[in-house]
Amino acid sequence: MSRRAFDGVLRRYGEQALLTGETGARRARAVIRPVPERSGEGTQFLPTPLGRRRTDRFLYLGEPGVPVAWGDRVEWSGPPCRVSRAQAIRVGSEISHWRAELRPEDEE
Amino acid sequence: MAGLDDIRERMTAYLNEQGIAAVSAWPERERRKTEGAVAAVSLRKCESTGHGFGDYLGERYDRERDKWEELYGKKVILTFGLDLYAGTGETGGEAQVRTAFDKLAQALQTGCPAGLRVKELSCGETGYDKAAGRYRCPAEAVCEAYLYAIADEGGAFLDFEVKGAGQI
Repeated sequence: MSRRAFDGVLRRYGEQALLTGETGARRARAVIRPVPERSGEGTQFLPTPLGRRRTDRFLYLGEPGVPVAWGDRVEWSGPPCRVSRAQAIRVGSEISHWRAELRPEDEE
Repeated sequence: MAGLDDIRERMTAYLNEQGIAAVSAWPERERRKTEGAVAAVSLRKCESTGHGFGDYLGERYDRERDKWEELYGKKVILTFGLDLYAGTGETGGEAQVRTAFDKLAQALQTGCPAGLRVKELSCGETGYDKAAGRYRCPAEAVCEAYLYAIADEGGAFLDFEVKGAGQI
């Protein structure tokens, strides 16, 4: 997807997200959606010795000018999340957008 | 009740009182966000020594029932799992585990929940538990306790509870 086309998607379907990490806090426009479980296995919560843990994930597609890194905290309209993996998606030599996988944080 | 049903909760409460974040393992609620490491308290093993309640401890008078009761004791060795979990996506999980084990050792050297006496404390190597999404250091404490049973005049045991070995 070209950068211009992705900008259009962000403007139309995106929302403001606040990213906090080692490089400080920054705002980014991003499309964030749940990742569907295709296998049909597993549940939304997994029992652990410390309590139930959410196992669902969210896909983050964000604007190219705001880098995303592992461990960043993401506040958005859904549950606060942590970035579990992140990559810059390039089209040719320029970054088209940032793609990341988010996992919900534990309850406060 | 045997007095063992809430033994994990007693250990959990003691650790929290000593400033070590602890939960009784597998709670029926969502995992909470914490600063630093958390100990998951489980009862890993319970071994009794000797046969039955063979140690006669004496008699006591029950005013309510207007009867004499006989007390019998039995030593048990309880192994508590005190696995330490740390790291919530940010770095520093391994260091948090080491700090927490140091505090745990301090707390169990200087005291213990009422009715228990620590005989051994050990920990294993820290690893990363993918299912929990946390650094995990296996740790356990072997404790000695006495169960004492109350028998009525007919010799039937009515109940038994945990009583500290050091207090007998």
